[in-house]
Amino acid sequence: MQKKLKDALRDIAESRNYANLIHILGWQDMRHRYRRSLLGPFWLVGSTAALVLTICLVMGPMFGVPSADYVPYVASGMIVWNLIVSMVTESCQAFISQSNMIRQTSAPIFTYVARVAWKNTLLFLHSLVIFPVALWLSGARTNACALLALPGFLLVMANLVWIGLVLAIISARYRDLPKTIDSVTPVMMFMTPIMWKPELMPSRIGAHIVQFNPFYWLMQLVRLPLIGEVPPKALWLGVAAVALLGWMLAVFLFARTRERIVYWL
Amino acid sequence: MQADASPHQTASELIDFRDVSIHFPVFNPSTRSFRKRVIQVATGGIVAPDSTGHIVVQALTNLNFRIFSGERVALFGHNGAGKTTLLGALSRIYSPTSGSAVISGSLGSLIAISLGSDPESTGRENIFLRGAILGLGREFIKKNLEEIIEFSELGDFIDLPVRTYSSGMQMRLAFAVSTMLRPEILMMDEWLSVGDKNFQAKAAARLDAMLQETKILVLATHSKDLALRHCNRAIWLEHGHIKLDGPVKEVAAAYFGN
Repeated sequence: MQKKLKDALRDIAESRNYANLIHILGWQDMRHRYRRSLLGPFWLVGSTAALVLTICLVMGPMFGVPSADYVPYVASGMIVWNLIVSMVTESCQAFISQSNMIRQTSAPIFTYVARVAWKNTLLFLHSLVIFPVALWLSGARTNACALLALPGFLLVMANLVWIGLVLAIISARYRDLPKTIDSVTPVMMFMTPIMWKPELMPSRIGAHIVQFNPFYWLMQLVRLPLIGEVPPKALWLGVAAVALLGWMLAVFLFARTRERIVYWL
Repeated sequence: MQADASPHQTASELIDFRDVSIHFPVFNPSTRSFRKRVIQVATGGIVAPDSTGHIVVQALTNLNFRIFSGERVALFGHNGAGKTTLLGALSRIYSPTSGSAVISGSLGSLIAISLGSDPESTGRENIFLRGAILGLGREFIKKNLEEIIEFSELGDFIDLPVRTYSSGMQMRLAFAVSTMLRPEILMMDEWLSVGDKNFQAKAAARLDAMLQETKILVLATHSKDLALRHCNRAIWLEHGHIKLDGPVKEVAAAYFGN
């Protein structure tokens, strides 16, 4: 087991030698669907922006929240939510969709998880453009706290990558998992306060729904700074602790399965 | 490891396979799903069920051999004998299901040389993409870029999407990129021959230059000529077992018949 752990860690470390590949493939994945279109990846940004706009126009008045408050809230929530969802769903396919490559090249297998993470990082940076536009349109302001979104983002990614590694491994072996995830994520979108605020829910239902929703806590870590609030210390520590425990679990699982993954594809 | 005497006392062995077996589990949708795992319905195997009831294909069984620096090994065997799987095991892609496989040295392969190339990207972008798949850094590729473009004779096409290339042009580009590697151990599945008459001579020279610097060549082939010309040792696989291992002349004579 000790040797397997070492091999697993070496696999992860050596994928850094393939940074060039991860970068090229990440870019390629992102722009692939929009090749030869004028706006390229900004099509994705455009559709997110349209969604945010629609939600703000339809739901905003319903909740009766001032738009300077509501628009940045929805915009930041949607951007982070998209990151979480596409990390989770695409990680399930990280090994499955690359079975040809994995079966024929000796690149470290973690490379394929890193590729998904890098693609989604690039996409996230693109869609971040929506936020200042949302501020401007609604006449809202943010403050220097917004800079905390960067460490927040890094910590969220640290979690999403271990989750991605675990999902990629299990999905390669059990093909029902990606389908399960695909059908659960739209439900989660309504369970997670993207377009509604927990405090607007009747009695304590809202609090209960969010309390046990890990995605909510991840989302808050990036969203709160963006809308100008400092995330509470407990949130930082909690998410960091989960990242640490999660990585231990992921590396353990990876060590046990790494050699077998190629046989499962 | 040095205990048993070998003709090569200098410990220049790079590959050491001991009792290596490779078994592929065969999953069908029902064994792949959670439901199956939860209910645990037992299934019988058609090929050979293992202890957990999974069906497995025994691709390689108890292989023992060592390959030393300077050896050029031909792999013989009918379709399904395990040649491709063995190449995969030698490339560290498949870890043995049982036994131990030690492979020391950098690896390179001229199998599937167009793997991963993107038809929508330009030839130039594909050079970087294919180079990256081979594990090469950006700087190294940059240094070789002009030479590759010149060698592949693509001219202005290099900045057009690869989907506009003829298949010959695609092969020339893929060949030029893959042969910039200088691995210690090189894997090939049949000899690569690309392009028209002129280009073939050029390609052969380039391949030879590459082989000059590799310590070990493993070549899976169905051609006796090829094996005799390029190899000094041969391994004959049959149903995943080694049927014969020795100097290429002897093995070729036995395998192809005189």
